[in-house]
Amino acid sequence: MVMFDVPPVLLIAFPLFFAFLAPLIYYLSKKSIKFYTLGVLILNAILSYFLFFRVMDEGVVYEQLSGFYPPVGILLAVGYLGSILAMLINTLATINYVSFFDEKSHSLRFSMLYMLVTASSTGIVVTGDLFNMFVFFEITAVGSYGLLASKGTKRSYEGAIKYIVLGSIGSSFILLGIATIYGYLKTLNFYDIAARISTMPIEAKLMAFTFLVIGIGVEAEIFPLNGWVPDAYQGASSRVASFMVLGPSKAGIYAIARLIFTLIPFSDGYELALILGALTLLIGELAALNQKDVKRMLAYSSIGQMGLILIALSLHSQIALIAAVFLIVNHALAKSLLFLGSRNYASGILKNPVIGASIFIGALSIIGMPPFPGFWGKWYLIVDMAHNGLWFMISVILFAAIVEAVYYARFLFRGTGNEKVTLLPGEKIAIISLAVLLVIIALFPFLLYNPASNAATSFLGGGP
Amino acid sequence: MLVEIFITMLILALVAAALNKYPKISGIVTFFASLIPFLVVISWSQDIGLSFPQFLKFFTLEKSLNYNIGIATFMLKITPLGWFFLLLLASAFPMAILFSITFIKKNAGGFYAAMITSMIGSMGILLAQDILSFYMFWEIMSWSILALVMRSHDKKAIMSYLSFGVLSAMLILLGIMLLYSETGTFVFSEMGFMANNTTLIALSLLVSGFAVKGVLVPMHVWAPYVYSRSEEPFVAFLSGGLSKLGYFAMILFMYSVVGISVLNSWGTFRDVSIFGYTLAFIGALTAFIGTVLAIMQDDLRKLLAYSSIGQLGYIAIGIGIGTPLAMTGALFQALNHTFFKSALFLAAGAVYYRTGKWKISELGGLGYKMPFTFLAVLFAIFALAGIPITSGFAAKWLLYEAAIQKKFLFITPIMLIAGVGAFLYSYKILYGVFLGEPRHNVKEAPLSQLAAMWLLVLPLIIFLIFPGWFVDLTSPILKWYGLMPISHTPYTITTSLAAYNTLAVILALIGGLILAFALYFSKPQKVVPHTDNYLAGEPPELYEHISMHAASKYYEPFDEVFYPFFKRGAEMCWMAILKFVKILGEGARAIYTGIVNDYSIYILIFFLLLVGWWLIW
Repeated sequence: MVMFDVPPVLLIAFPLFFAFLAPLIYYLSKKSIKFYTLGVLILNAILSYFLFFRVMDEGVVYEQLSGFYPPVGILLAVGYLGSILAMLINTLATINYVSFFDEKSHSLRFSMLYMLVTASSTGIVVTGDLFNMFVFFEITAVGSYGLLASKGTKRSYEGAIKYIVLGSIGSSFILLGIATIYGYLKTLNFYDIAARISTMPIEAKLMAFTFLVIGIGVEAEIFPLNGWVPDAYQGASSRVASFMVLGPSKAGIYAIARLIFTLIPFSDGYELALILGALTLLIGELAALNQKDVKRMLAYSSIGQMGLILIALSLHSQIALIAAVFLIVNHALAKSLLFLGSRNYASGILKNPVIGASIFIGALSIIGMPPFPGFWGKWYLIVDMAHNGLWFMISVILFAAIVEAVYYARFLFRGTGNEKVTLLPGEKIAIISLAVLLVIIALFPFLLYNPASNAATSFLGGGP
Repeated sequence: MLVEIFITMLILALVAAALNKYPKISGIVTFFASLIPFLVVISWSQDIGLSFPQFLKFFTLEKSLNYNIGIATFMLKITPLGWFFLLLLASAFPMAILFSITFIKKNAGGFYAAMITSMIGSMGILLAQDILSFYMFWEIMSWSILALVMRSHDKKAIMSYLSFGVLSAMLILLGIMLLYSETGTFVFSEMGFMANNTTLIALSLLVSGFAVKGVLVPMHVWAPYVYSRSEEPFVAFLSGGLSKLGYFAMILFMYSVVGISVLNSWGTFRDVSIFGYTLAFIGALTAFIGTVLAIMQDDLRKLLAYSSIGQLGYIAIGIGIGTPLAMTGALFQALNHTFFKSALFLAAGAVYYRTGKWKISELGGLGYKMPFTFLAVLFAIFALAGIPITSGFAAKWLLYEAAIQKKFLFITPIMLIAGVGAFLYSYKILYGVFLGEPRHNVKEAPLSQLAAMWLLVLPLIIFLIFPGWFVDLTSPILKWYGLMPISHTPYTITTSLAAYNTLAVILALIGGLILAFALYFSKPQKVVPHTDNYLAGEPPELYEHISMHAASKYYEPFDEVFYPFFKRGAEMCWMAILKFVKILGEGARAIYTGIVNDYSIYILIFFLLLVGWWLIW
C-alpha cells in the first residue's frame, strides 16, 4: 500500500508553510484563495493516508527534527492512534472546508486560521515531545479563538472571549506542569519522562499531573473545566462548531490519553479519569435534556460524549481502548455532521430525503444504534465494564443513553423551527460525505477495528 | 441462502423507498417482499419436525448460519419456538402491506421501507442464537418502529414510544451483560447457569425490558398513544405481530436460556416457580386493567389499543404458569391475537378510510353499508371475546383450565372478570360502529383492504374446527422444552379436567343457527324506526336533547365506579420520574451560568479539590 514513506513532519509543515504563503496568493487573486486552501487540505489528507498505511505496515514511526538526537532534539512519534487521528482530522477538515465553499466573501484570515488549526491539531497527535505539544496547543487555541469569533456577531465574540479566558488559564496550567517536570527531570521527551517519572518525588509528580490534567482538560471539554463549550459553540457558526468538534477537541482527548497512559500512569489517575468521565457524561447529557437551542444542545451532548470517551480511556484495557477509538471516530464524524445539519432541520426528512436521512444516521450513530460505529463503541465499553463488574458505571452510562435518545428524538422531530435557511450546496456535500463515511464504517467495522486493536495494544505497552 | 434472503429484503426495501412517488407500485413491490418471510417459514417446517407436504418447500434453507463480519460472528438458527413466532409475524405482515396498498398515500416509500426493515429485524431476533445478534436485531426492529411512529407527527406518541423503547433496550442490555459476566460467553447454548441472585436480577431486568414490547402493566403507558395515533396498517402489525416478540423473548430467556430448573430453584408455589407466578399475576393484572380501560374509551383506536393490552396479558399468564396446558394456551392466544387484532385494527382503518371518523359516538350503522367489513369484524370479535365460533374460545379455555388446575385463587377470578369485560367493549364496537341508525352514506372498503381482513379472519375459523392442528404446530416447542404435548385429535383436545370437542360444538352451532333463521323467517318482519328503540314509542320531539347513539354514555355507571381508580395511575408515576429527571437537567444547566468568572472559579475549585485529594491520599 505504501507508495512512499511519508515523513510525519510534512503533515505539520505543509499546512503551516502554505498558511503563511496564503497572503501572497490572496494578493495575486482573491478568488482563488478557497481553491488554494482546499488544495492544501486535500494534499494534507492524502499525506495522512500514506502516513496511516506506513504506520500500519511498520509500526510506530519516529522522526527526529533539527539535527539533535533525542532527548535533546524534538521527536515526532506517530503511533497507531496518532495516525488514525491524523487521518481523521485531516480528512474531516477537508470535508468540512467544502461546507464553507459557497461563502461569497472568503476572507484571507479565515483560510489561514483554518489551515493553522488543522496543522496544529495534527501536530498534537503526532508529537513525541511535551513542549512541542504545548506549542501546538497554543496555536490550536489561538486559531480557534479567531475561528469561533469569525461569525462576527455579538454572541460569537462573547463565546470566543470566554474561550480565550479559560484557554489562557489552561495554557498557564500546562506550562506550570511542564515546568515542574522539566525542573526535576531536565527533559521534555515523552519516553524519557515516562522512563524516569518514578524518580520524581511523589508530591512533584502529583502536582505535575494535576497541572497537566487541568490544562489539557480545558481543551478536551472535561467537567468542570469546560465552561466555555456551550457558549462558544452556540455563538460560532454551525460550520465552525463542526470543525471544533472534529479537530481541536479530538486532539485534546488524545493528549489526555497520552498523559494518563504514557506520561504519568498511576492507578489514582485512572480512578480520577473515571470519576471525571462519569461526571462529564452525566452533566453534559442532563444539561442537554431541556435545552431548546439546537447548537447549545449539541454542545452539551458533545461534552457528554467526551465524558464517555474519558470513561473508556480510564478503564485502560484492550477492549475499552478499542471502544474509545470507536467512540472518538464516531463522535468526530457524527457530531460534526449534526452541527452542520443543525442550521436547518426544519426541512426535515420529508422535504429533503437525502439530507434528512443523513442527519438521521448521524443522530442514530451518536445514540448508539447498531450497526453504526457508535454502537460498537458503547457495546465494547459495556462489555469491558461487565468483565470488571462495574455495574454502577454501566447503569450511569445506560441512564445517560436514555436521556440522550430522548433529546435527540426531540431534535429530529422538532428541529430548529424558527430559522428558515436552506443549506448551501457545499454544506449538503459535507453532510452527505460524513454520512457515507459513517455507513462505510457501519458496513465494514473491521476497517476501524483492526487499527483500533493495534492502537490499544500499543497504548497499553506505554507507546504512542 | 439465508444471507441472500436478508439482502434481498433490504434491496426491496430500498426499491420501495425509491418508488416514493408511486405509492401503489411501491406497495406491490413491498407486498412481494413481504411474502418472502412467509415462504421461508413454510420451507423450514420439515426441519423443525412438522409433517408439512414436500411441495411447500419453496427454498432449500440451511438450518443454521454463522455469519462473520470481521469483528464478530452472528449465529442464526431456526428453533421450534422461533419458527412458531416467525409463522405468526410472517402471516400478519403481508396482510398489513396488502391493506396499505390502498390505505397509504402520503410518502409511501418511507413507510414501506421501514416496515420491511422492522420485519428484517424481527426475523433476526427470532433466529438469533447469541446475545450480540439478538440485541442488534432488537435495536434495528425497535428503531424502524420509531421511524414509523414518527410518521404520526404526534409528540406524545413519539416521545412515549422513544422513552420506553430506549428504556427497554437499556434494561435488556443490562440484563444480557449480567448474564454475560456470569457465564463468560455470548452464545445462548453455551450458557450454563447457577441459581444465584445475579441471574435472578438479570432475568428480572430482561423480562421487564421485554414487557415494554409486550405491553404489560406498568410498562404499557406508551401503547395507547402509539396505537391510537399511528397509521392503521402499521398499528395492526405492531400490535398483532411485533408485540409477540416480547413474549417470544420471555419464553426464550426464561425456559431456554436460563431454564426451568433454575427458575424453580428460586422457590415454587404449587409447582409453579415464584418468578413465573409473578409474571402470571402481572399478566392477569394487565388483562384486567386493559379491559376496564377499554370499556371506558370512545375513540375506536384507543379502545382497540387498551383491548390489545388486555388480551396480551393472557399470553403472559400462560408463559408464567408454564405447564404444557398453559404454554399451549399462551401460544394459542398469541396466534389468535395476531390474527384477530390485526384484522380489527385493519377494519378500524377501513372504517376511517371511508368515513374519516374515529369516535364511536360519531359512527353508526356502517354494517348496512360495509357488510363484508362488518362480518370480518364480527368474527374477529368472537375470537377476541372467546365466543366459540372461532378459535379464540379454545385458547382462553386452555388458559382458564391451566389456572384452575393449579388452584390459583387470585389469577383465575381476575382472568374471568377480564374475559367478561371483553364482551362489554366488543359489544360497544359492534353496536356503536356497525349497527344502529345508519349515519353515513359510504361504499364498501376497497378490495385490497377487504382481502387483507378476510385472509386474517380465515385462520381463526380453521383453527376453531381443527384445534388439534394448532396443537400439532406447538408440539415441537413443547418437546424442545421437555414437556409433554397435550393429548388431542384434529377435533378434540383432552385435558385432565375436561375434553373439548369442536366437532360437537360446530354441529350444535350450525343446528342452532338453522333454528334461529327458521324462527326469524317464519314470521313477517316489521321495521322499527331507531327512535322507537330508544324512546319506547314516546314522541321524539320531547327528547330532542338526548343523544340517540348506542355508544354515548353506554356504560355510564361502570365508568363512574372505575374511573377514579384508573385515572392515569401508571402514567402519573412515569411522569413523576420524568419530571425528576428534568429537574436534574435544570440543575445541570444551572452549572453553565454563562459568566466567565464562574467558570474560572470552577477551575480553581477543581484544582483545590485535586490537591486536597492528593493530600488526604
